[in-house]
Amino acid sequence: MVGWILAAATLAQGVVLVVMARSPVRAALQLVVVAAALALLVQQAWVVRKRLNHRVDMLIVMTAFGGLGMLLGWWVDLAGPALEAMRAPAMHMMARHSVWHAVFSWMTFGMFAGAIPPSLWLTRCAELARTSRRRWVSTHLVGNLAMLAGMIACGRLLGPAVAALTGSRIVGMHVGMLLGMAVGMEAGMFLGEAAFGLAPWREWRWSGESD
Amino acid sequence: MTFSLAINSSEATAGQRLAVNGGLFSLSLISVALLGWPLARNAWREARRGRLTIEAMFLAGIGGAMTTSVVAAVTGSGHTYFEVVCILLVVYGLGQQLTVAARDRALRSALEWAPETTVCRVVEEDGGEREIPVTELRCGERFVVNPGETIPADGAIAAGEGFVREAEMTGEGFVAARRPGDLVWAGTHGVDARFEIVATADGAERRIDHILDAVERARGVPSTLQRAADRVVAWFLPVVTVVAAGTFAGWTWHAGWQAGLFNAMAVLLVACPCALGLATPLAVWGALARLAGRGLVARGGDAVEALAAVDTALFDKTGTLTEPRATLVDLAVGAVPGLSEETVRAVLAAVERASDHPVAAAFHDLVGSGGEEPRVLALRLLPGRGVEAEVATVAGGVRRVTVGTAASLVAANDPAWRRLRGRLREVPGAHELAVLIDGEVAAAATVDERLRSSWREALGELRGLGVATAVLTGDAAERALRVGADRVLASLRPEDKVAEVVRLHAEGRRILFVGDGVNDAAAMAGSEVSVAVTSGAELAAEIADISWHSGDLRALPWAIGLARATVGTIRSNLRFALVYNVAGVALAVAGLLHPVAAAILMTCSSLVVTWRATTPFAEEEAEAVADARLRASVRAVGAAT
Repeated sequence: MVGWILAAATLAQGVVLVVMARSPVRAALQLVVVAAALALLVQQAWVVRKRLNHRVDMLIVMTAFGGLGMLLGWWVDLAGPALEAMRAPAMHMMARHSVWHAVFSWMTFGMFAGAIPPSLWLTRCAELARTSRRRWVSTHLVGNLAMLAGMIACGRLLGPAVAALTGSRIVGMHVGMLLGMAVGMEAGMFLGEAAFGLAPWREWRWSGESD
Repeated sequence: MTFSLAINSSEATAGQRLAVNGGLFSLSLISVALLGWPLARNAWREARRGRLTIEAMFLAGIGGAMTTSVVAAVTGSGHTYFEVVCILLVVYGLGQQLTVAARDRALRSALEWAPETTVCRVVEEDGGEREIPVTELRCGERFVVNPGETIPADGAIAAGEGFVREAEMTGEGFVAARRPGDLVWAGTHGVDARFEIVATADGAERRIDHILDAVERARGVPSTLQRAADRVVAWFLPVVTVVAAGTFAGWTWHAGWQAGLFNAMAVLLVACPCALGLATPLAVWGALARLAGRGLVARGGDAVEALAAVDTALFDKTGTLTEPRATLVDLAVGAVPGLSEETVRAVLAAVERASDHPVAAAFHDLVGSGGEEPRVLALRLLPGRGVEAEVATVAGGVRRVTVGTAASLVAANDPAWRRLRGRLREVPGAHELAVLIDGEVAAAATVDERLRSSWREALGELRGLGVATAVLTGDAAERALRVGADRVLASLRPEDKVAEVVRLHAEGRRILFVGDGVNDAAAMAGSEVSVAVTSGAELAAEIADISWHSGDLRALPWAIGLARATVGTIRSNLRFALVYNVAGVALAVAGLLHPVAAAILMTCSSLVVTWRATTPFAEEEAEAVADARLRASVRAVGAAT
């Protein structure tokens, strides 16, 4: 059931992007088809997650729920003329806001609101984090800050490039930010655990091993 | 991409365009060399065997896009696609890597039960211990296993008494008590005691190694569904090639050759038959490995498919449904001149220990005087009757001891026999044995066969799966009826068993036959799928589709459930892959799919199929195992940090 909800959240991102970007039929169809394939992948990955690395559940929950929250928040942020400007062809220069503007935004709020509560309940990383203060700090503090940093950085650096490929600034920015938050979260947790001497490179196989 | 976008869309000078395109070309060339090389190598290897692969066609497309871009860069007219080439190679290569990793991981998880122990500690002559690779262990060498460790080799316990966890080998959840003389198998675990074990096989000849070898061999024997899928894939590729060529021609005519090239590439990428080719073998291999984990070693994938179709299970009784050794129900010892009752017991135990008859095993645990044991000087079989031995007693004399069926050794009205028989507990269907010492009746015993403890539960589970059960035995009806299957046919000869199989086939039944003896071989050969108990006759094991190494009968309904889930998944996976590919190809032909989107779709389908292939059994098992492990590991982490 959770797998299908995650899949729905993934598919919903494709649909929201189509509506937000007012994509032409060909692009819209392509976007929804790719989102549907990714949704199916997310559902299956959730089913078999216990045979995969424990970090996979966090990645799935963050990109599905966190990604949808971020997208909806961004829609609220862009409401009005800003959204119209974003719908302009990809090759036009994008307006840039300050980092602080990105941090204190509905987009950031949506990302955290969508990602954190379910991840606390559903992921093995969060379960592990409850066993140790060092793990808690590396997972929740370092991981979430790195997710925010990754989202902003990749949105700015990768977003325009993906926008060029897809022909839509909204799609490009969202894909860039989504990749950024995923990479940021994983990298942040990894580095946090490494800094605390928790050997993050070792795969956690849930067989009673200790740190 | 940004550079490419700038150069494709801006009014740059010819020099600027050439400079930026030169840089982009150089970077693309590095990407093609790094990511395209493994694909090119595979494509070339297959081409030398006369096979055209998707990789070869994909690389041809990549080459076309690169050439187009170079021509556009040099002439200054048209678009360059260097960035698209790079992204395609990254997505395609990443998808392939992820799929291979997921497949390997799934197979590894299916073989998780196999022991990873590679070393063992042998006991030296001076009493010291030395660690050596298991493969260097020789039969007869003594090695030690500490509490909690995996037993690295097959052997007999020489010292130590405690519990051994054998779930990995037998499926039995409860730990088993093991004491000196008991056999233990590599891959099981000592729980609470230190054992000294004498190896009964070389370290490279362990039972587990034979099982793993058999699983590996079985992987090489494709099942019917696997062969069907291979045929579909063999047809799929030429069809996709034709569709891609048609797409290229159609779009070139309609919108120029760049559009033709990209749409043809999208067709090739989205129709990559990885999912079709992976779906069946992966599921079958996973099932074979899981079956072996419960002690059921199949000859090939066909056994899995046949097991899935089974609706009737026929069992031989003795040795299959019953424990391999008989149980001593009661023993009455009479007066023998010059021998105490304890000595008679010790003599009887010594004779039966020297015999390997299944009934003799009932006396193995018989306790003698506790002192020096009588020695068996000679032993000969009395066919159909029992055994006769010459035994040197501790007191010094040599006695002639005969043990066998009462009906063949003593007259029913023999007074001594009648007196001893009267002291025995009445058990309907049990065998009565007489013990003669120097021709005089010395003891009477009743032995009975004992149903395996897992039978009742297995019977219930088979009924739950809708599988009708019947016991086909050559034994007497009064003993056979105690089994409690849906139907019991007693006093059957081997040809009667075959006739019953033929009759059930005529009713449209699909039969699983579980047996152990030569008398079962013909019936086993006539069944859809057969399981042979490995402790039984070699002929039965030769004929059987599956050899059964554990004594847990619950493994059989579990195996049928697993096989059904596996075949169900294979079918649904094939349907999924077919629908997915047809829909994807339709979109690509219509020009609605960018090659990058096609590569993403291909990666998604391959991963989904790979995961689904191992889900039916993994899901419920992984749920239970992982939940238990999670709780244990969280506790362990809590304690450690």
